[in-house]
This record gives sequence, C-alpha cells and structure tokens, in this order.
Amino acid sequence: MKKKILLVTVLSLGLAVTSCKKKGCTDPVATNYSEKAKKDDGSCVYDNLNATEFIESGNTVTIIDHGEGIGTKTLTADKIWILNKFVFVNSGQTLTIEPGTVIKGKAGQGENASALIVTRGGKIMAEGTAANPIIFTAESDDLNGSLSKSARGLWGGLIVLGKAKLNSSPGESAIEGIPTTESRGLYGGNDDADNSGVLKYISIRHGGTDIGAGNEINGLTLGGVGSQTVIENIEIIANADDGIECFGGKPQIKNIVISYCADDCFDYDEGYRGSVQFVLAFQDPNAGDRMGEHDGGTTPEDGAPYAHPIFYNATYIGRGISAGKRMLTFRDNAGGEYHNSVFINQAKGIDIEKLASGEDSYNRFVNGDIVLSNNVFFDVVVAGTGATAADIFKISFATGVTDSGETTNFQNSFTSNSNTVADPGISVSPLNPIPANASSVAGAAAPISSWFTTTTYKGAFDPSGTNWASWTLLFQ
Amino acid sequence: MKTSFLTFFLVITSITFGQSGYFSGKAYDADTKEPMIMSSVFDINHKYIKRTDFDGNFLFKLPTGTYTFITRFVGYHADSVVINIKENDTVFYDFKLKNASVLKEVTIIGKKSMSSAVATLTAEKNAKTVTDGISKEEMNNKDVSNAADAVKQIPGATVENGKYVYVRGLSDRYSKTLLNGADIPGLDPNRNSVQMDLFPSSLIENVTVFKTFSPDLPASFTGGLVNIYTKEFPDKFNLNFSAKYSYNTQSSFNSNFLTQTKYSSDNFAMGASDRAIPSYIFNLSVSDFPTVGSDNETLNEYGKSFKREFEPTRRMSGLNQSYTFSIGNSKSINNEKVFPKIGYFLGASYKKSFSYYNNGSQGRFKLVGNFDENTSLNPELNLNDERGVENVIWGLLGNFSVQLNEKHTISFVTNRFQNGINSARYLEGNNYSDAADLFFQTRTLFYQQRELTNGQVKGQHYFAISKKVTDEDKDIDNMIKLNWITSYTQSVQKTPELKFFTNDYTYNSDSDTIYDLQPALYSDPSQFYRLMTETNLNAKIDFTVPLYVFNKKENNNSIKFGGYFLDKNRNFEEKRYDFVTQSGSNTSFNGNVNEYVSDDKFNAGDYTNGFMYVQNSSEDRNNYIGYETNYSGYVMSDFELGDKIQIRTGVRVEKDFIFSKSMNKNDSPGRLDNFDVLPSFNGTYDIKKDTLKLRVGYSRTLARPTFRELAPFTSFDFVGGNVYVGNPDLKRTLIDNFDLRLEFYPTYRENISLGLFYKNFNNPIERAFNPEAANAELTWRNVEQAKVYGFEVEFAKYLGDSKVWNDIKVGGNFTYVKSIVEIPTKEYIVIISQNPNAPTTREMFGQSPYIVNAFVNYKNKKSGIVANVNFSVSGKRISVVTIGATPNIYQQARPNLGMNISKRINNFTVKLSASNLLDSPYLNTYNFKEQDYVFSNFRTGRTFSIKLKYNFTK
Repeated sequence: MKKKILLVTVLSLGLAVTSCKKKGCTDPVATNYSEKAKKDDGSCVYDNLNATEFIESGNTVTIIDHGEGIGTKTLTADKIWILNKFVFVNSGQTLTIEPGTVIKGKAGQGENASALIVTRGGKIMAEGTAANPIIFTAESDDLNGSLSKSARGLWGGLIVLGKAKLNSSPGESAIEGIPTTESRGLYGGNDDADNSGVLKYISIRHGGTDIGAGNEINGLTLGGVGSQTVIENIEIIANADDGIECFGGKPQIKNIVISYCADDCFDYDEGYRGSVQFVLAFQDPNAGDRMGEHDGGTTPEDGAPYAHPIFYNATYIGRGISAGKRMLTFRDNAGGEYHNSVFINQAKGIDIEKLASGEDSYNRFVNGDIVLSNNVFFDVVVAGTGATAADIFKISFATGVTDSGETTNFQNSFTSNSNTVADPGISVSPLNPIPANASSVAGAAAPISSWFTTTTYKGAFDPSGTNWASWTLLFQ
Repeated sequence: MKTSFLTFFLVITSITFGQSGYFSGKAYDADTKEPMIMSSVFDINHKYIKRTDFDGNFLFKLPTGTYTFITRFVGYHADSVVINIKENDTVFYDFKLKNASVLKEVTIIGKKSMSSAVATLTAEKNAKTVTDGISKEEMNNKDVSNAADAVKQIPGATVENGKYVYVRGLSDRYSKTLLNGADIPGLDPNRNSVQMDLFPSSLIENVTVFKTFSPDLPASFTGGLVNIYTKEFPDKFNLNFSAKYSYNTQSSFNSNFLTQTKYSSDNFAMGASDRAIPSYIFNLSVSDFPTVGSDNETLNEYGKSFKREFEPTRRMSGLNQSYTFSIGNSKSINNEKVFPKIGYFLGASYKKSFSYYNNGSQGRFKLVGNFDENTSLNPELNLNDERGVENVIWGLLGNFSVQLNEKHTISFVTNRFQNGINSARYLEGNNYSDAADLFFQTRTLFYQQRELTNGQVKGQHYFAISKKVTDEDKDIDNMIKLNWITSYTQSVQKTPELKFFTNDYTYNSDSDTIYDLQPALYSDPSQFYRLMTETNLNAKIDFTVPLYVFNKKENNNSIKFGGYFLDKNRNFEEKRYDFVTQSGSNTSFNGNVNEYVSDDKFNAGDYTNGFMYVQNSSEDRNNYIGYETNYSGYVMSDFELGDKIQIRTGVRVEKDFIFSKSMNKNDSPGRLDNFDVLPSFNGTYDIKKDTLKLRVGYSRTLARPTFRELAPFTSFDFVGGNVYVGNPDLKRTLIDNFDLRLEFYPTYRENISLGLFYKNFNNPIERAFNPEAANAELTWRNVEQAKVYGFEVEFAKYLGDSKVWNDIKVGGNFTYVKSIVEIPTKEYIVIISQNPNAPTTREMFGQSPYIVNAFVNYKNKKSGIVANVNFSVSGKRISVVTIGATPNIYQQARPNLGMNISKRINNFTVKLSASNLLDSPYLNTYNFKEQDYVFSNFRTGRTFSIKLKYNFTK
C-alpha cells in the first residue's frame, strides 16, 4: 500500500514537472532559434539587430528603422520613400532630402503609426522649392488628386526634436505617443539657439494618425526646436490633430499654411518663445477646434521661461459663426503676441484664463506678455462687423472666481491696442485669402525685431500682391 | 493536524446490533471545564467514532463487550477510558482533556473541527505562527456571502474594491491566496492576487490568514497569506438549501437602472459568446483589415457588422437574490468494516445582484503653480457619475474522498466559479481643462466574464517506521506523515465588449447646443476586446517526521520537509476597433449616439458628405505572454526547549523564473531569475500555561512583479484614464519581517492579544509616474527602501457568566500601521519644481494608518437565536499618486455598520440582515491647505435581506 501511494505521489509530481515545456528561443529569425523549444525564455540572439532596412521595390524604397536610425543619407527625388512605423534621424545623423522628393507614411495606429522623427542632435536638410516642394503624404495617396484634400489620419507626421529650453520639469519630455522607453523620443535642453536643420517648401498631407493612448500626431511637431533651425514655406493640410504644435523652444517660422486640420491649427505648450510671420490657417466647416490653442506650461503650469511667442501677419479663417469654436485661447500661464493679423469666421473670440490663485494667463496679460494689437476681426461671434470688444475679448474664469474688473481691463485693450472690427473682403468659399478691402487691413505697425519682414498690411497676404502660397495643395 | 485527521473518521450507524447498550458522556477542558465542541470520540479500533455536539455531549449505541474509548481534540492531549457495555445498560463517562503544551503539527489548514469558531480560536492559539481564521460557523452567524466578506472579519485585514485582500494595510501586492493550500491564478491581469468575491461562502469550510511566514508556505507574501478551504464531506448525510433576497435602497426595483442590452445567457454568467465580434472580422490582423480606399465595400459591411451599442439604456431592476444547495454524505463500502470509506460533498451556489448609483461625482484638480504661493487647487474636470452593474456569480464544488484505512486518505476536489458583470456608466459635466463652457458626456459599457476551474488531487498518509509494533507506535502521532497535493487551475477573463463613447457640447451665443466629437481631445468611439487566460499547475509534497521515530520517546518534536513546484502560464490578448469619422455634413454629431453610428454613415470614400468607418487599432504590444516556474524546497523543525518554549524554525529555498514578453518584438522581454534563501524563526513562550503566550518571529519573504508589470507594453486604461507601461528591469522585493505578539486566553473561548510588527522592504515596487511622458503615464519602479511598522490589538470577551450575559460576546481589533516609502527620484524632481520643501518620502500606496473592527454577538442555543452587530473602518489611504506637487489622492475612511438576526426552527433558519447601514460614501479626495477637493464620490445605498435556510441531517 505504502509503495502504491508513493508511486501515485511521484507520478503526480512527475506529471507536473514534465508538463513544463522546454524553454529556449522560439523566434525563427534569431541565430539561436531552437526548434524544440516550446516556450520562449528571452534568450534569442539576433544578427545585426538594430540595422535599418531599406527595401527597394521598383521606384519605392521602404525604410524600417530597428534602432540605428536612417543614417546620414540623401533621399533622392527619383524614388518614393516609404516610412514603415517610426523612422528616426538619430543624433549625429544628417538627413538630406532633395527638392521634389515624395515621402509616404504607411497607414497604422499606435505602434504601427508611421512618422519621420528628427531626434535631438540629428539634422534634417529638406530644401524644396515652390516648383518642386518636398511632399510628405500617405502611402495611399497617388498624388493625382483622387484623394480628397480633407482625407485625414492616413499616416503619422513629421516630428523635429531639439535641445532648446522647455519650462516643464524635469526639463526634458518624451514627445506625445512615443513610449518613454524609446529614448530617441526625448526633447528639451538648454540650447535655445539649437539648429535642427532646414525645412523649406514642404507639404505635409493627410497625417495625424492615432499614435497611441488617444494621442494623434500633429502635422508638424516641433519639440524643443532651437532658433537656428530654418522653417519657411510649410504646408500642413488635413491632419487629424493639430496642424503645427510647438513644445517649448524657439523655432522661427515664416510662411506657413495650415488647413483642414481636425484639431487646432496652431498649438503651443511647454514655454514656446519663437517668432512666426505670415500664417494662413483655414478650417474645414465640419472639423477643427481652435485656430490657436496657446498653453503656457503643464508640469508645472507656471514653469519658466514663460511661453511668449510673437506672431505677425496671421490670417485665421474659422469654421463659421455657428460652429461653436474659439479663435484663440491663452491658458495655463501662456503669454503670446499677435500683431497685424486678420481673424475671421468663428463663433467665439479670444479668451484668457483667470485662476483663483497663482500665475495664469491673465497675469501674463497684465504683465505685458500677452499683446493683441493692430488686428482685424470680421464674422467673429456676431456676423459681419456687429461684434464689439465685449463679444470678442473674454476672460475665462476658473469656477468660483468672480470678475473683479479683469474683463473690462482686457476688453479695454481692444481699442487701446488698435484692434478693429472690419470686413477685409476675404472669400471663405471658394477660398481666396487675399483681402479685397485693402483699406480695412491697412495701417500695419512696424515689427518689433528685424527678423520680421516689415509690411504695410495686416494679415498673411498683401492685398495688392500675389498668393505666395499658390504652391500648396490647398490652392491647387 | 493529526487529531483533526482522526475526526475525519466518521461514524457509521447502520450496523445492526444484537444485544447492545449505551455509552454516554461529555468531553470538557480539564482546566476551564468548558465543553469540548466537535471533538472526536472513538474506540481504539476506530470502529465507532462520533463527535461531541455543541454542549460537548456524545452518545453511542454499542454491542455488549469491552471497549477502550479515546477522545481527542486539536491542541489537547487525548484522554481514554476502558468501559464494559452490558445489555440495555448505559455507561457514563466524562472525558477531561488537558491542553497540550505544544502540538506536533498544528497548521491552520482545518478539517471538520476547524469549522467552529472555538476550533479556529484553539488552532490559532496553538499555531506556531501568527494566524487568524474564520470558520463556517462564524460565516453563518455573520453576514458573510463570499470569501471577501469572510476575510474582512479577520483582524488587520481589509478588502479593497470588494475583491482584493489587504493585510495590515499592505496592498494586495503583498498578499497571496491559496485554494486548499494550492496556488491559484488571479483573474485581474494587473494584479497577482485573487479576486475574493468569486468564492461563495456556502462552499467554504474556512478561511485562514497567515500573517507570518513559515518555511512550509510559499514565501511570496508579506502582509498575509489567505487560504480558502472549500467544504469537505460531512459526517452524516446532509442536505442544505438556502434562498436569500435583498432589497437595496438604490438598486432594487429601480426603473431608472442604467444598463445595456441583456442576453439570456447573462443569467448564467455566460454572456460573452453572445457579444462576440463576428469571427471573419475578429480573425483579421491589422494588416489584413480593409482601410478606406482599399476595399470600401467590405469596410462598410464590417462596420455595420458591429453591434455599435454605445448608449446606455434603462430598465427596471429586480431584487438581489442568491440560492445555495449542497448535499453530502460518507459511508463505508463494506458494512462490516469501517474502512474503506468514501465521502462526498456537492455544492452549488448562484447569486444575482444589482448595484446602482446616480449620486456620484468625478473631479480632477491640479496645483497649477508654486505650492506655497497658491491658495487653492484648480479644477480640471467635474462630472456627475451614474452607474448600473448587474452581477451574476455561481459556483460548483465537488469533493470526493476515499479513506482506505485510518492511515491513508485520498481526495479529489473540483470547483468551478463563474462571474458575469454587465456594467453601464454615464458621466457628464464640465471639462474645465479645455474650456470653462465645454461639457463632456462619456459612456462606458462593458461585459466581463470570469471563469475559474480547478481540479485537485490530494492525499494524506501515515507510515509507521518501526517493525516492532508497540501501542505507542500505533498512535499516528508517532508516525511519519506525508501530505501531497496536485492542483491544476485554469482561469479565464473574457471582456468581449468594452465600449466607450465620448462627446462634448457647448452653447452658442444664441444658446443653441452644439455637439461635437473631438478625437484630438479624447478617443473616437471604440470597442475593446480583451482575453486573459492563465493556467496554473502546482504540486506540493510535505513530510512530517516526529522525532519519536528516532528516539522512541514520546515528545512533540518533529522535522518537516518538502518540495513545491509551480508552473504558471498567461496569455493576454487585446483588440481594439475605433469608429472613425471623416467629417462632413453627414457625420456631424447632433447628440444622438445611435444615429451617429447608424448604418447609413458607413459610406467609406464619400469625402463630400463625410463617412464613418471601423478601424482595427489593435497593437501587438498590447498582447503578451508570461510564465513562471518555481521550484522550492524547505526543511524546518518544531521542537521544545523545556516545558515553556516551543520553536519552529527552518529555511525555504525558492528558485523562481519569470518571463514576460509583449508580442511586439521591438520591446525587450522582462525576465527575472532568482534563487532565494528564506529563513524563518518562530518561537512561543508559555508565560503562563495555556493562558499567556508570547510569540517572537523573524522571517524573510519576497514579492515578485506581475507579468504585466514586467512586460514592457503600453496599455491604455480608460477607466483609470492613465497609460500604463511595464518595466522589464524590475527586481523582486525582499522583505524582512519581525513580529512580537502577546496572547492572553482568559477562557477557552475568549482571547486578548497585542502584536507588534516591523517590516523592512528592500527594493519595493511602487507605482510611479514617468515625468517625461506627454500624458499621464504610470509605470512600476523599484525604490530603494520602505518600512512598515505598527501594532495590533485584538480581543473577544463574553459579558459574563450569568444566563443572559453568557450569550453575549463582544470583540474587536485595532491595527495601527505606519509606512514610509521613498518617492522615486525622477518623480521627486517634478514635485520639488513646485514645492521645494516637499518630503522625500510618502506613505505606501494603499496603506491605511489604522484599521478597526468591532462586533457584538448574541447566541442563544436554546432559542436558536443568533444576532450580530458589526462595525468596521479603516483610515484614509493613498489611492492615486498624482504628478508634481498636486496633493496625492486619499481614499477616505468609510465606516461600515451591519447587523443581522437569525432564528432556527427545527431544520429551518430564518435570517434578517441589514448592511451598509451608515451608507458612507466611497470618497476619494485631494486635500490642499485644509480644504478637500473631491476626486470621486458615490454611495451605494443600504441593503436589507431575508434568508431562509433548510438544513437536513440524518
């Protein structure tokens, strides 16, 4: 009896032990792949694990980055370059893109999202021309006009990361959607004059896929980008998130066209302090949130340096006065200046946040970090020219905070800063952003620094000039 | 345990006698004169066995002749008597049992005798380590409906979310649950611990919590090890039936009960298959899934194939109801002999309940600037919260035992527990973080099915070593004992549908409501599918060798050694489908959810008017596998030093390998391979024999990361709102535990104890923010050190000896805990940017500073009336760690009062109970400069129940 019992015990234990499957490497691609192994134990070893793949097929080259980045390389105009998931320009690498080159992103969300990411210390030299712009678009776009201009979210976007200052703690951040475990997604530093290269005549189309955790990729993301980076003549069209978003840093941007984006046109956060001139932002009547979403900081909101970008000559065309959307919001201690700009066709005007205590955007206004001057408003809040300063300039009070003169104070600045309500004669549909009423946009103030071009007109377009943005998809 | 092993032997009364007489009497404690309830009385040949009743009485009908009768009780020396039975005569004898100075082997793993409160107390008293238990009897008396309720009755134990055990306020990371002594897998992918609400009390014999480690237990617990012992066969034929109906002031007969479509299969907690996504869609990988432009027709058809139920509905809810049924018996195969004997117990339970609130709120606040300069927190979100949950849970248990003879028993146990949850939630309110005039509406609908299937084979054997058989050798106390168990469990958690639909609205200047969906602010309408399966094979073998074997001298010293093997496999799958719109005039949202996702919107490619399409947003990285193998062995010894000191000491070694990898190959796998030596020392000093004991203990235990924590994948949990990222670099935590406990037993049924404990954690795993992350992202990190220390006081006292007062027992326990854990450096940098004076430590996550339980019991055997009043509360504890210097969120103390009364009338018992009488809110708050800000708040209403129970014993 005793023996039998022991036998049963031993058998049952034996059964337990043998049912444990053999362990080893189960990935056939690995060099130490074991056919017998039933369970992977993490011992797989791979050859050249991190090498980037360039897979040629006809005139397309598919790029798969396994960690080494794209390398110092030129993307030539004779090929169509396909981004498979995230492709990085690693630190120390310089990516050159010839004029007329087409780069397409594969479809996919989350980990499958495609994007070109210029990391801190990496450089992009993408100098297109008006005649031969560089195009970033979706793989499914055959560039013959068959894809609707408003088709969104078909791939990711272009992300440039630099070493300029952020006002968030601990001073460097991982860009939205890239896991913090991927160190190449980090941006921010101490070099406000950092140089990430040149972006000229670039059209970024149909992007903004969900990159993970409910974050969509912006058309052009500038994270901690420094002032030496050249960014001119950029189009972002039909992005499922913001058109452009600047996280801290000091990028200087000229001649930018943002249209059909599903979230905000121009967004900034984490202490953006750049200069921007000649911006056309145009919303789809059926999509889009704010024309400008301007946040100061996140953790903490009152981190230094405060956000204080300066915009000259913006033309913002919203969704219409019955769509419920805002023109500009300044909050989370954001500062910022708009001069010589034209704002039309939106249900709500400009609001500044006022909190119960601590630093907030209202304080920024009081301290001169928010300046709105020499701007023209039309079809904002009230159709035509019916709106007053009280309709357009608002304070957004935190719950429980009562108005002790803030609203009046802000609204008084409307007139004292020479803002007007007037019809510039801009056609929304069909779109013609060149003002027909030259007089309503005359009287521009002189810019505060030499980086800006001096104009006699308000808004992005000279009433007597040609359309500088005619190269963009929007105007084709 | 061997004594209770003998109680396993059951009396068979069907033997017909010729001439016969009676043997009658009582068993009581020689010192206290208290009756010994449920002790076994048997003849030396184990032919006649009975157990004493609640007054300690027994009665045998015996053929005439001479017998030697013995009585035993766990923790006591046996007493024996020789009697001569004459025809129609009755022999009277009272057994007087002396409390054993030490037991050879008292683990709390109870058998029959463990099911009375006194037995549990006796076992606690005699246990060599610090343990607490709750018996079947107590579960019956109190208002206990599942294992979670049972654990709440144990000093220092609390239950989080109605499911997870916290012992001494240590979170469930530091507790472990066994089923009949064997490992079982949890059902929550994010936790190691087992969901206790799955085990209905009607199928539980007892629940025990070990608070200190001894080498024969798995070392992966620090707060407590919970052992759920399922029911075994009864002595005699027993049939049990009960029905219980409960009325809740909020959730019963409520015509506004929030819900979603219900299937008839939901009534059996099997609703997952009715909610399945069609397989031709489900089986398509992301790359094979059609996209806009690739195959619009198929894409439209797929979109329309989803049920697209996103809007909660309302219907009338019913009463909560539960039913239990059990049957059991034991019988010898051959009527002439006592052995071999077989016994069985079959049990079934079913429960359906509703919970509902519409009084909830959710708020999010943030400290926007410098801690010292700010006077208040800034609101970001303020939502009204409404939720309806319908819960069905059932269990089946089968236990078959074969007793070959007095030395060999083999049992087969099989159980299946199943739970189905149908939940609908609706939140609406301000989203200040975007705009003061922006309102949010969000709906969450889900169905979840949890299944746990377990099979166990176990045995207990005694081997006499000596060839030369003396009477002493025949006593199984002096034999080598072998216990073994093999247990296989499969647990499955299916979430066929987890659906979210969020939108916002605002007002125009002319007060028109303007609805919108902004996927840039929150996700598109989406449907998740999740499946977790885990198998668990555990085998254990334990040998106990009494030292009598070597020196033939009767004493209570023994050596115990054994081996343990565990093989655990997990597979976690997730799929996600988003309902994405290309905006246009056709797809604008007018506030009507059903219309927004209606068939006519699926018109992919119609850019002119806009369209909706389904997008397969599944990601490889949200799928992972994990496994763990553990080989352990131990050796320990129980021995006495003189009359007063008993020592249990030994060492356990554990070789453990954990591997966890996500299906995305770019994510490096998590891997842990450790060999640990875990010593333990427990000493008991009898200051005053049987009444005053002092215990001292030291042990080293460990805590391992879960598969999920180790897997480097990113998951997005809407319900919590945060992103979770695993950390493949996690190490296991080693904990040094020190215990000191003084126990005073004024009488056999009363006790007072005072315990001190100190725990030092090396490399504890704490939940922590990734400060670099763009959105709130949580991960798990090893911090260098944490400390937990405190004391606990417990007492149970009868109010007096007089007729009335003798029936009233009062008791309670109080645990005070202090915990200190370092804040991870990366997180601290962010905190001091707002608050340079912030402390570098905080309390451990989930750690209450105090826990109080108190009760008054009335029990009158004559009238069959039992009544109870219970009160419990545990102090506020960190429930959410926040980013930066925004104060952490605390779950506030939630005092709970319940009472019940029952009366037995013959075979029937009627019980009335009232629970959650204070209806305290479930309240989580931030506290900033003396002001509370509500993070979440809701009340669940009071519940009143009536239960009818029928119990038949032949």
